[in-house]
Amino acid sequence: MKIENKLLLRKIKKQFTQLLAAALIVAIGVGFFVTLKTVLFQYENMSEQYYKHYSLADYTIYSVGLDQSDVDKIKHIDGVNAAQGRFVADFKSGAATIRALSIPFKESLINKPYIYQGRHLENDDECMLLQKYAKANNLEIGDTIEIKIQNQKYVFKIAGLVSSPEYVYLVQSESVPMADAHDFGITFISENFFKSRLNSGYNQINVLFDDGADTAKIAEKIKEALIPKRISYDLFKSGQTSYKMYKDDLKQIDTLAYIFPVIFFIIGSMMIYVMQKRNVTKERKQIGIIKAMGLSDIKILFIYTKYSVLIAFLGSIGGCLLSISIGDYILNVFGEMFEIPGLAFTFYFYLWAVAFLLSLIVCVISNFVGIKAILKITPAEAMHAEKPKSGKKILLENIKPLWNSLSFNTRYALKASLRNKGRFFAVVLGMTAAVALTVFALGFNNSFDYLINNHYETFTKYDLAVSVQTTPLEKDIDVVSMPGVEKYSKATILPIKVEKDSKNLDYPLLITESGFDMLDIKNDTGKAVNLQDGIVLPIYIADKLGVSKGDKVKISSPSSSFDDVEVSISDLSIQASSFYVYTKFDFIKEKLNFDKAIYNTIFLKSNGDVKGLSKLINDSKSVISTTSKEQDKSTMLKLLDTISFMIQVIIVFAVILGIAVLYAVGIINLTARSYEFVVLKVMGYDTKDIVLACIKENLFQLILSLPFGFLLGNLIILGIKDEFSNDSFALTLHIYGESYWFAAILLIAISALIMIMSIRFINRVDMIEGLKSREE
Amino acid sequence: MNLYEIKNLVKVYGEKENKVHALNGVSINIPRGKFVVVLGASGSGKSTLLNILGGMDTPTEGEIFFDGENISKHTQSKLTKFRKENIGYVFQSYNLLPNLTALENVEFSTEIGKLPKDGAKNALTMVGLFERKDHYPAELSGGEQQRISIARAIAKKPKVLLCDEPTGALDYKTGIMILNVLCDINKKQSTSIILITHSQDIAKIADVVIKMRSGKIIDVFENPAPQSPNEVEW
Ligand SMILES: Nc1ncnc2c1ncn2[C@@H]1O[C@H](COP(=O)(O)OP(=O)(O)OP(=O)(O)O)[C@@H](O)[C@H]1O
Ligand SMILES: [Mg+2]
Repeated sequence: MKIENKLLLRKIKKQFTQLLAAALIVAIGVGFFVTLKTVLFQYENMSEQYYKHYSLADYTIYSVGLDQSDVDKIKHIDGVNAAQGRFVADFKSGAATIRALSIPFKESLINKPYIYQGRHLENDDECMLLQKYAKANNLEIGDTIEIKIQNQKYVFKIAGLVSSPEYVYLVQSESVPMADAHDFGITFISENFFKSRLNSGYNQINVLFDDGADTAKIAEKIKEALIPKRISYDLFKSGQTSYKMYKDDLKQIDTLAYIFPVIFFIIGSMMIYVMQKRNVTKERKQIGIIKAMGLSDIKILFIYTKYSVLIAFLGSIGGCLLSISIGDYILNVFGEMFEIPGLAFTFYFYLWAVAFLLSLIVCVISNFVGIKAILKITPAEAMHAEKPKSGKKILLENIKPLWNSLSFNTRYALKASLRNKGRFFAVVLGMTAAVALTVFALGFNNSFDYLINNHYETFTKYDLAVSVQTTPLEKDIDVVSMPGVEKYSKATILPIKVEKDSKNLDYPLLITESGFDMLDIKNDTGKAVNLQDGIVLPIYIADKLGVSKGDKVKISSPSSSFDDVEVSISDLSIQASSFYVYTKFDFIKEKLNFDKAIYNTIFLKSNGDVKGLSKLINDSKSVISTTSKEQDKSTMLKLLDTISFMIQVIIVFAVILGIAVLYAVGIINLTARSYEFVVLKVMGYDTKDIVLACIKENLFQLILSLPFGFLLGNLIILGIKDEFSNDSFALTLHIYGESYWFAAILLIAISALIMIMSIRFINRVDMIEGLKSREE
Repeated sequence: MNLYEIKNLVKVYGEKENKVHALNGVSINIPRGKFVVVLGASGSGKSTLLNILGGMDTPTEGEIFFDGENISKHTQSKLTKFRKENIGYVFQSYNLLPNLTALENVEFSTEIGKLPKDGAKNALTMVGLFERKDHYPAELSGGEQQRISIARAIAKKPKVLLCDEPTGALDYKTGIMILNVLCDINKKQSTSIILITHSQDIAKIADVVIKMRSGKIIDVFENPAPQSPNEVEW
């Protein structure tokens, strides 16, 4: 082996734990990056394939009373690749809601189910059930499910367990974007069943466009072709909730895939800088000798660079191993939220190559900054003993009265801290990052928790929202007079398009009676919104549209046949979820030329037994479906459980980061100062006092890093909150006090651990050996 | 041709009121193959001169020719190459690399000079320390360390060996042994040696003696009958 490599190897052996600490930090950065990017790629590839092979509809028309002739008309439009009608409706199956989708016996053309197990339908009394729902309810192939359709119970035998490209996320409705598979399921039932038993035609037509077709134009043609039928709603793939959420998730994962590695890479590179700077100072004379012997600067730099290459190498390998070991687990966690068949952790070697290259660049650059002093070392000078350090004054010394009032011990602690600012701030930065990560992780969780609790405790005042058959407003239905109903309010929910200039968004319009108090809709001054002379938009929607209070927007709804009606925005509401556009019957009646008002939703408050009431209501003929506030809330909270694993992972990594930085820099500080400790000891200074000075230094660092860490944690959440907001909820920053406490105590515990190590080191410093160590 | 031709060398350290003229107009020719001793009191500029001769430092003014090549205006990288190819150093404080064994220290030098490795073993044998080759510097006495350091210097077959008070930290007997090794190298391999000392007695073994005071050469003379180190007493 070459001597220069031997030299390096022996150094590495001595500093192995420090090197490992730095490599560990790089490994976590690489691990995060590789894992999240793999999940992202895998998710992206598999879902694109899934969407393609299982033909997710490009465009869907919603209407009542469609039939095969309509489908045939659409089929022949230029640019339409395929069109298929179906009947879709929600029914009750016990306590659960089942959405039935009609499907032909021969293979479906659009939105094809993916069959995990079993086979396609062959009989009217068979169904294919969403596997997720089957699992949650312990159902297997051959079992039966009972569905109540128009007050009659039908039994279906399960022929296949499936997933659907339409339901990658189990979207029940805009307000329940990720339903609990125990309470909400999807089932495919033969088209024949609906035709023969229920005499129902289609209420949806799904369309696939040709590649590269002008979709907006074709959609217009389709709508024209269907005249005079009334289209209640039309939806492009890009507007489909599950598909939208998929796109949002991609963005979120991508954001995370950069944030964490950046933090860890910054800390890792800082560690390398500190370690190598110290090495060069320590080995100044040796470098001088080698230079005198005729080794060029470039070569010497190269030898020192190998050290950082090794860190990058170990870090990358470690990161990839980490990624392999947690990859499947992480995918499973994501799999709780979305379902894509065939999702498994895969090795993207070029990703690994990128990760390695990235860490190599980061390590080598920070290494270079640390060792560039090599260039300044001249052999003649280095041969002299140590370069005399100009006794640096610290700023505080200039404030004489204050400085003189400090004890020798405190002055020593201050001077020791600030003499090597690089190391001092390396520790502060490491502590800051550890605190920031912890605050971020807990705060992210807190923000969601707060959002959910606040939304369901203070915003939502009803117990049940009951979707009913359309009824004239003045007419009551049986639901409102059921025992247990304390209060009720009728409302209409219509899908509308809100338009401002070139922007338009699809949202439900909630039309309420006057005195509606089932939702506590407030504006940013904390007062109830003004529903008097216009519509109210949640701030989230207003921001997306770029409008503010007093502006005019156009609303249209094909199903209720009003088009481009201009209304002004009377107020903006503050809310985190359940985004509706609000208005009152009184206001909107004339605007929309309603000859008579109708309602399709009843909000209810129960005077006690919500579950019992819910059961009663579900048995009513006029009820289509009910959602309960409690159930929605628990579904949302369950979602929080799935991210709690991620939170734990981040906290563990924050702790590792803290320990690694404090340990590595701590060791350097101690060895660099051991000469000083010896001198103090020889002079008769008590070991206890030296330790006290170290503890004081540690305190300065804690005092600096805690507020910065808190701040940074907040900033990270603020920075990503928009990425994590979607049409179902808008995340706002809300960190509970105990999270700050937790982060602080965690950091103090880490510091204490490192302090114990320091005390042992100081106690062990050998006076004889120590006096020699100056020579190094 | 002379080994070194030096013209009006000036070296100034520091600035303004801190200015020190370590060398103040040194001109001299140093012949090839000779044992040259530079004699002078502490602070007279001996080490400064030697550093410049060895290409470790550059003069503030003046010119210095080695083998007819002007090295005073060399860039750092050219100086590095110059040192690698021509110069062997022996320092007062040995300056061995503590993490390398005796042999490795010497091999490092052949490695840098891109010479065959057995040169290292031969050099160790020459200073009589082959059997200690696997010992680390910390396990060797000062004299032994200095002999290793000489082996390191000669292993790369330099044209000139520059020794800055090689016996300064050693006792009398060990000093004699070191000087014997150096004389041997000078005679057998006809390697030029320039050695710094402030001892009049050591100067007696030289072929040429250069006397310095306050950054200037005050005397140069050839020694008609150089003594063997064994005859010297100090
Ligand atoms: N790097 C430096 N910066 C400033 N002054 C220096 C430097 N190196 C040497 N000097 C000064 O130059 C003068 C000559 O120093 P030099 O080391 O050449 O003396 P020397 O003859 O080798 O002495 P000694 O016998 O004590 O080793 C001294 O006055 C010294 O203080
Ligand atoms: Mg000297």
